[in-house]
Parts: sequence; structure tokens; C-alpha cells
Amino acid sequence: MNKQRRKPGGRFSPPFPLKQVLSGRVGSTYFELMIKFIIVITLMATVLSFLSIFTVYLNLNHMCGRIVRVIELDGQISDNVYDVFFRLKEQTGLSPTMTIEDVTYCDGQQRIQLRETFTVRLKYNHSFTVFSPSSSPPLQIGIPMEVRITGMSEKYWKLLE
Amino acid sequence: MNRALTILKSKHGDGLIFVFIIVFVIFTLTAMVIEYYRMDTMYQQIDYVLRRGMDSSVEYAMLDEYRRDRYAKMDSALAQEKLYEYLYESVKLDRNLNKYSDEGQWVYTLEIESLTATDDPPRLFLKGYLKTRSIFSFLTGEVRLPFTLTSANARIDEGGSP
Repeated sequence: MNKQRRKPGGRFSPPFPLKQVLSGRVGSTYFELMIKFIIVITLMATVLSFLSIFTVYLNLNHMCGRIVRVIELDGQISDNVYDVFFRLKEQTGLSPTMTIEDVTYCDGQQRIQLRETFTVRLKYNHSFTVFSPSSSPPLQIGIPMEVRITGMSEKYWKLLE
Repeated sequence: MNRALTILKSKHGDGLIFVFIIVFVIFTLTAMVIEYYRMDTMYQQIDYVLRRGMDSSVEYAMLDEYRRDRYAKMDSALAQEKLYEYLYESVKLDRNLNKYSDEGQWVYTLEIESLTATDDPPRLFLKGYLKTRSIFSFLTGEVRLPFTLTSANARIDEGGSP
């Protein structure tokens, strides 16, 4: 019985030489399962990392909408607008640049008359990390993002005659 | 008849039909989700635009001379007029409150059921429906989404420029 177990391929048989292993046609689905699992995990990680781009864009869109709403309610480009902008930058971790365009001020103090429109533009360059090896700096791609939202002042400014 | 019975009783099958059914279900579900999201976004946007118009109409129609006496009063007729002016000029609706895209395609219609304004307290109340079309209109007909909006101004301190 022991002799039978010790013969090649038996329970206590010594490992096959490498040449025999490579040319052998005996296989196991276990290895196939492992490879498939690794591929699936890699694919999932890739898809999830791409989702971060959309999250950043949504955050940028949200920021722009909030700033537009503040200007609409204030009816002017006040310190309050920049305060909200900086707080949103802190909360989201993004650092976009803000420009206010297509706007007509009703006096020299950056006031926007009731029902006058304006556009807030946020620009941001998102660095998407493709691969980060431990021995060298990470490989990154810069993705330029831009959001433009038009708003309308809801404040009536009574101007001096 | 015999042939139909034979097909119905037959235990032989084809996987292709099953694949077709699954693909059809997946496509239908995807279309439903996308359409729901599109309509919800449109509804939110119109709601926002209407709110903005109502707020600005109330703001414009406030009678400032009453504020000096710490009293809030509004010219309700002017507020209603300003709201319609906003709908025609800013939202770019036609006289029947239809909205068309830049390509001239009909997008939606506002059906105003009631528009009431009160001088004191200054308040504008709008109730109506948003009539639009979906890709499932051939099944359900045109979609009517209700909206009820209120805008009030209770500020009694003097605003605007000093």
C-alpha cells in the first residue's frame, strides 16, 4: 500500500520536475479560478477608480450651483460669495478657479440688478492617477474640467438718482 | 392548429429566444431609468426657474415706502404682471406657455391652474401642472407633473443702496 502511494502521482509522491510540470497536460480549475478572480478584481478596481472622475465633476457642478445661488440671493459679488467658495473648496478638497462673466453691474460696487443674468465659470484640472509604482513617481493624467452655470439676480437695488 | 399545439406541447427549446427576452428586459429597464432621470432633472430645473421668477416678482412688487414704517406690503397686480413678463421674456415661453427648444421642438407646457397674490402679507401662490412628453408617451400619453409654489417676502428693513 505504501509502495502504491509513493509512486509518481501518488499521495506522497515527490514534486514533478519543472519540465514535466510545463509539458504535463494534467490541470486544475483552481488555478483558472485564481486567475479569473485576479482579473475580475483588477477590472473592478479600474472601474471604481474611473468613477472618481465623475465624483469630482459632480462636486464641481455642485460648487458652481451653490455659488450661483448665493450671488442670486445677494444680488452682488460680495465677500459672502468668496467665503462660500472657500468653504466649499475646503469641504470638497478641490481647488478650482472661479470667474464671473457675462455680467452687467448696476453701479461700481459689483451689484447686479434684479433679473440681470450672470455666469459663473469654474475651471479645474483633475489629476487622475493611472498607476502609482512604489519606486517611481505616480503616472498621472490631467483631465481639464469646466462648469458654467447661468444665474439671475433676485435682488432689487434701489439706485440713487 | 395542429402545428400550434405541437409547438406549445413541444419540450424542445432554443436559448436564442431566452437571450432575446433578457436583452429586451434589460433595454426596457435601462430606458425607464434614463427617462425617469431625464424627467426628474427637467422638473427640478423648471421648479427652480419658476421659484426664481416668483421671488424676483415679489421683490420687484414690494412697496418700499411701507418698509420705512416697518410694514411689508406688495402690489399684487404688479407681482402677477412681472411673473408673466418673466415667463415670456426670461424663460422664453410663448403666449400659450409652451416652451420650444432652439431647434423649434416642443419641450413642455406650463398649465397654470391658479395664480393668487396677496398684498398683506406679501405672498405669491402658484399652482399648476407641467405637461411634457416621455418616450413612453405611446403607452401613457402626455405626462402631467403637478407643482405648487409659494413666494413670500417678510423683510421690513430697508434694503437696496444706502
